Amino acid sequence: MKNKLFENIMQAIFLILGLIAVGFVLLISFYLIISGIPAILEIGVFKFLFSKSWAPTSPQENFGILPFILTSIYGTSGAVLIGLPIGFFSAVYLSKFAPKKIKLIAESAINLLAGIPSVVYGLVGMLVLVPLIKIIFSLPDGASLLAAILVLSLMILPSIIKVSINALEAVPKEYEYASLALGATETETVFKVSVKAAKSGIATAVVLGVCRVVGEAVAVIMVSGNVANMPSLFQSVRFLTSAVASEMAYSSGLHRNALFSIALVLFLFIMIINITLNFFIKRDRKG
Amino acid sequence: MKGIINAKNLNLWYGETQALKNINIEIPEKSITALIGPSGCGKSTFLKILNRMNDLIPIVKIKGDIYYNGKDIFEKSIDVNSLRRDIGMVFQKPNPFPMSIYDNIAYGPRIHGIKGKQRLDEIVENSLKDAAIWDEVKDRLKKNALGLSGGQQQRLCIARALAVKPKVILMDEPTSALDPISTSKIEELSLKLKDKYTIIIVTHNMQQAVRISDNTAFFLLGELIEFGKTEEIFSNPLDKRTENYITGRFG
Ligand SMILES: Nc1ncnc2c1ncn2[C@@H]1O[C@H](COP(=O)(O)OP(=O)(O)O)[C@@H](O)[C@H]1O
Ligand SMILES: [Mg+2]
Repeated sequence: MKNKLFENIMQAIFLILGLIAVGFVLLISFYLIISGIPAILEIGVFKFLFSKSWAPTSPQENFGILPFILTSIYGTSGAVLIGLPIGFFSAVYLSKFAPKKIKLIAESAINLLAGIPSVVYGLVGMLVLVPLIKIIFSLPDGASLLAAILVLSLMILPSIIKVSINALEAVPKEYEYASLALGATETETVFKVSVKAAKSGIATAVVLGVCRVVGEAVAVIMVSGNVANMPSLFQSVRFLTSAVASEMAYSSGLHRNALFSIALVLFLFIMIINITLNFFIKRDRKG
Repeated sequence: MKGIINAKNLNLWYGETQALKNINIEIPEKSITALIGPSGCGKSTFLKILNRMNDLIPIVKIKGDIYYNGKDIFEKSIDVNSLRRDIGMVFQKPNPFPMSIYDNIAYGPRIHGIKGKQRLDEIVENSLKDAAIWDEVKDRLKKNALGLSGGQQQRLCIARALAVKPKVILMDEPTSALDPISTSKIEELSLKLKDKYTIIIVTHNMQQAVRISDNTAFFLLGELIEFGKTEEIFSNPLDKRTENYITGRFG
């Protein structure tokens, strides 16, 4: 009797907590939609999304966010393109080939890396990477899309490595034994059996990585130069996130509303990425 | 019949504990050899050493020799991967890869460089037929192998082992996780396979050893107590300890 009551109370608590979580998501969505729609309507959907110039405070004001959208897409793709293979191969090495000692050291380094706030990444990027890029490519300014991509790829490494290692280590040893007993080498076994069996876990790592990169603002403001150019590797650029973060403080009127609209676009962006990647992961799992 | 596998004064240690003690055995070709004995007596250890799966356990130390077709398998010049291709293995718990039935069977041949859909199709079909599971799976080759029943999975694993054309098949209690019907299917299958392959099977089930094996080896505490024709071992054991074990007095 007492147990039953306890069960019921616990269930009610979990239900309420669950509802609160869902409620917050809905609240945020509604808020973003309601505050983001007006400016888009006033500017015009097409003009807002596809016009190349962002000049909210000039006399000929213009609210085109194509530069931010493309910068975010390029920046994210670039970071994943660099971070994913490095992270993936590190995870394979650490979980399947590395001596115990190296693995231990690397894992604690990765945990440390994962806990560093993005400001610090930005700071190090600003102090080390940006000047380096300036010198290597003899640019007037090293703050650029390239710098942002490099910092972002470094930032996603820890989570990609950690999640991939977990996925690889969850693969039952029996699969590997079966492969070795058929005469496969260790390398063949790892790539053709273990990685295959772990691929949905590894894909989850990618989703986490992508979402972290798309949503990152602080570090990219510090190393990208934060100028609303159309993206180009060696030029200063501005991301969707940094546009919102850097202008919110002093904006007003339509400008301020347009920033809410950018947040809405960013939100949709993340939703779309999440849904597509999850779709592929689920399909893979079934297949 | 000549011995395809010969162990000479074989000793094995896990760290400080000795698991095999001076084993001498000559396993005849194209026949079924059963390894029996109470658990922990070293049957699996002996089996795994034959295709050098013990290499994966760093603490293992070995003294003595094993000859496969007259060649010492511990010699440096031996290619472990081709040794394992020759001496296949079926595990206690069915362990198909989490892939399609087709890919499970094609895995080994592909690893060994066989390409071309037609050749692979052929190998897949023949292996599944040889493992007496073709009729049950021929319409769902592209489906995940994990959807099969335990007994089917085990026969699939046998088919997967056959696909690389081994000479010897090692089976470690292959039916201990299966129901009686699946067990008898695997026993029938083993009897059919011994025309072409040498089978070494570890079993806890004495009736199984009697039903299918030609020769039986009785292990106790890491020693090979007795090895001989199955009928003789079970009807007229030479060693008192063998008799005690097969009459169920211990183990
Ligand atoms: N990986 C291992 N590490 C240490 N000891 C082991 C290992 N595998 C088996 N042993 C020991 O070796 C002995 C023989 O084990 P095993 O060959 O599995 O016996 P069986 O298959 O006859 O039950 C047992 O005492 C067991 O504890
Ligand atoms: Mg055993």
